[in-house]
Amino acid sequence: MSARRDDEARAAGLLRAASTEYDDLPRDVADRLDRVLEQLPTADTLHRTPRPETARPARGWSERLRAHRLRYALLSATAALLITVGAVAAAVQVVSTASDTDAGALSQGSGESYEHTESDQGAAAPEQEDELAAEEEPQASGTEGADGGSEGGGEVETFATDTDYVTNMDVLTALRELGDESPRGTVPPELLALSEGGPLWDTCRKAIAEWYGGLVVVADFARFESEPAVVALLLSESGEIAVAVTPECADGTVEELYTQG
Amino acid sequence: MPAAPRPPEPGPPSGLPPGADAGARARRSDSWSDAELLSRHAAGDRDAFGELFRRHRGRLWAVAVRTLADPEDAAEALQDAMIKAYQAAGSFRGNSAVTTWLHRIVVNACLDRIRSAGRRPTVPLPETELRSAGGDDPAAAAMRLTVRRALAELPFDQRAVLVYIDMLGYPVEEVAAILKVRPGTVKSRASRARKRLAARLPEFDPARPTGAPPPAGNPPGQRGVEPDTAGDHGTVREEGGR
Repeated sequence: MSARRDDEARAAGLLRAASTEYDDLPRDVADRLDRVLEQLPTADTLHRTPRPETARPARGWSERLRAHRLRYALLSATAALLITVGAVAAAVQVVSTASDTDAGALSQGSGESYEHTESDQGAAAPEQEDELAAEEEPQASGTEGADGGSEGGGEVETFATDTDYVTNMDVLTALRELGDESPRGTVPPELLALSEGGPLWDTCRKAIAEWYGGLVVVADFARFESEPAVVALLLSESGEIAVAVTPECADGTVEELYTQG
Repeated sequence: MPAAPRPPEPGPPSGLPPGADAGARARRSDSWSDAELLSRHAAGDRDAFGELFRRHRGRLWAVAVRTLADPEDAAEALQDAMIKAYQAAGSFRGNSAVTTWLHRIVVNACLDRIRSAGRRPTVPLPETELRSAGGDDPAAAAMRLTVRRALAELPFDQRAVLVYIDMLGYPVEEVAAILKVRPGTVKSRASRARKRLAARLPEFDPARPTGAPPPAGNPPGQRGVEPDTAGDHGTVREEGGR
């Protein structure tokens, strides 16, 4: 026990010594900060809506997706028009060539050209579907329910048990025991966007994993001491850790409510 | 239709008469508290936030550079934090000290930085470290480099606690307020972190002969960083560590 304390004290001493090696704020960084500050808009124009970033990601994502789709639709329509015009031009050329040689071949030639047109359009259609499907993929994984965490959040098993976890509870054991028979309750409104998976949950999961240096394996969209919380079980080098964090994790901010392990 | 409310006059925001010189303003703003500066900023005082941030940026830098172990990353994180604080000042409710709030934003910016880069912090190459140590004992400089590397390998929550408590000497209660955890959690986290750090240091290996140098080179997956060679640029000394 005393040897451990000695080790701790020595480690603290080494850290103190290592700390002296760092430079103070370099002048060029200070100047850069001043320049950036000068370019920021006046403060009173920024403070009308507090914390605009929190609500933005989900809407931004869907809006981005919508913009992509509109752009894609316009491109597809243009491509289809060009293909049709090209096919008609080819058909006209075939017809004029055929009329020079064999009038009987006219119907066959134009038939081929129309077949060609159809096959072109047919080839374009699956490509179009593939691209649309590829675009919809993130959204599809993002609409995974609270139980479908395997795609939306790596290997994380997600739950919404409606539990109100408290400090004097063995949260670690409670999380370990979550499974198929666990109760399915309602997700606190503040956690709804997170529980749907997608980029917000991904950000949250990564923030928790990075903060605690482990791998999130179980998450319960529940409450801690009556506060909405992501209650998670992590595996780390030093073993299992149970944590509860606020919904702010959606923007990458870890506000810890509880930790055990 | 009623007329739109008139925005506050931006300047001179300090309550000084027009034409008052910068020196007078500086003397006046020196006496303002952090909270006063923040509320003046929220009301449209263009200079108040700059004054506030300049007051604390040295200490905020000290945290960022130790946590991220790379001056460039630290500069980016500090800039991100400054912008975030600038924008979020209106939502500051005064439940904590302004400095606590600023530190919290910087810690989160550091975490964002690490996460967005998808890697652990970078650590200078040994030769860099030894060179910047100047005439210092090479063995001691090598040991400090090993410590910095071991620190960079720790999970972020533990690393932040050690930076604040052991490296910068902040009291446990202040760190608890910054990280929004209980003081007991800070203590246990620091204890776990020191043990973990010790386990990574050859210094603590009983099998290692005394005086043997630690292994050279960056840990796997970490890139080396060109040094900020001393003397290449000035530093803002008055805002330095705690």
